[in-house]
Amino acid sequence: MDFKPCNCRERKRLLNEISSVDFALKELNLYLDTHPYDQQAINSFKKYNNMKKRLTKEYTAAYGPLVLSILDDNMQEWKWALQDWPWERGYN
Amino acid sequence: MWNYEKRLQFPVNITQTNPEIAQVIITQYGGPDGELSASMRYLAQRYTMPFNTVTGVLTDIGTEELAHFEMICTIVYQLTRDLTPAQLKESGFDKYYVDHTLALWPQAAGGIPFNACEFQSKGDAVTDLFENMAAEQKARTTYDNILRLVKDAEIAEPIRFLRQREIVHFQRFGEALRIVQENLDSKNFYAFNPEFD
Repeated sequence: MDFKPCNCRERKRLLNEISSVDFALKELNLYLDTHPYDQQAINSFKKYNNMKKRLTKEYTAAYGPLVLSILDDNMQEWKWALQDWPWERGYN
Repeated sequence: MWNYEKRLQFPVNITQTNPEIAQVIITQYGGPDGELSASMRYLAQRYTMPFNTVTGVLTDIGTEELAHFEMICTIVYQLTRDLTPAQLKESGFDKYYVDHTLALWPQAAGGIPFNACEFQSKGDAVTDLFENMAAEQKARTTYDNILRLVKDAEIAEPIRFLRQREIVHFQRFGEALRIVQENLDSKNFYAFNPEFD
């Protein structure tokens, strides 16, 4: 088995989408720390949080784990450690 | 406690080896205004901060900075792939290489090792938040300086992302300072230290 993450455009597109959604979450997180009663921002946070969970599940099933809290039900080997780490060229 | 996500906050994919620029960018890992000192500074200041929302800002920005020094280390790592002995000598990277080979080690661009004095955890909410705002601006200046030296888009894009984050963090620390001041004596912000008195 090849443990390099596949270099296909689709994997990188999905990873990039997860990072974009997570960026929105990080921005909302910092904003909410100093504006903790902003209901609109809280609703946005919930929306993006669900979106990130859904996309992470999709990525995990197709390419391998990004977080240990969301794993593929059919996992046969510990891809978390077997696959490349994010600082390698071509991962992102 | 923390959890790891197996991805970078912003993509880094540098295909051309360039040890000269790696020697400059490493300063944002272990230099005076680097991401490592930023992260450790905010996370150290949290424990005695008496306002929960401000502690939230310190925790969450301190956590984001961990992802930033991971990006900086990735940039340096990718810029120093496949170096030949001739390139090492020619670029001046040989002085780093002799002690660390191609491993990551926190130092400033001039070779000065990382110094814990840069944490600046003073135990006074007003003092520490002004320190943090200045730290974000110093890091932003450093990124401006780096961007004058870097023309390659593969390197410049992640550096621009990190520069923008300094501006956002400066804004949030400004709000945190306002929250602290709203909880102090409005006639004299220095009448007492909310972290001690």
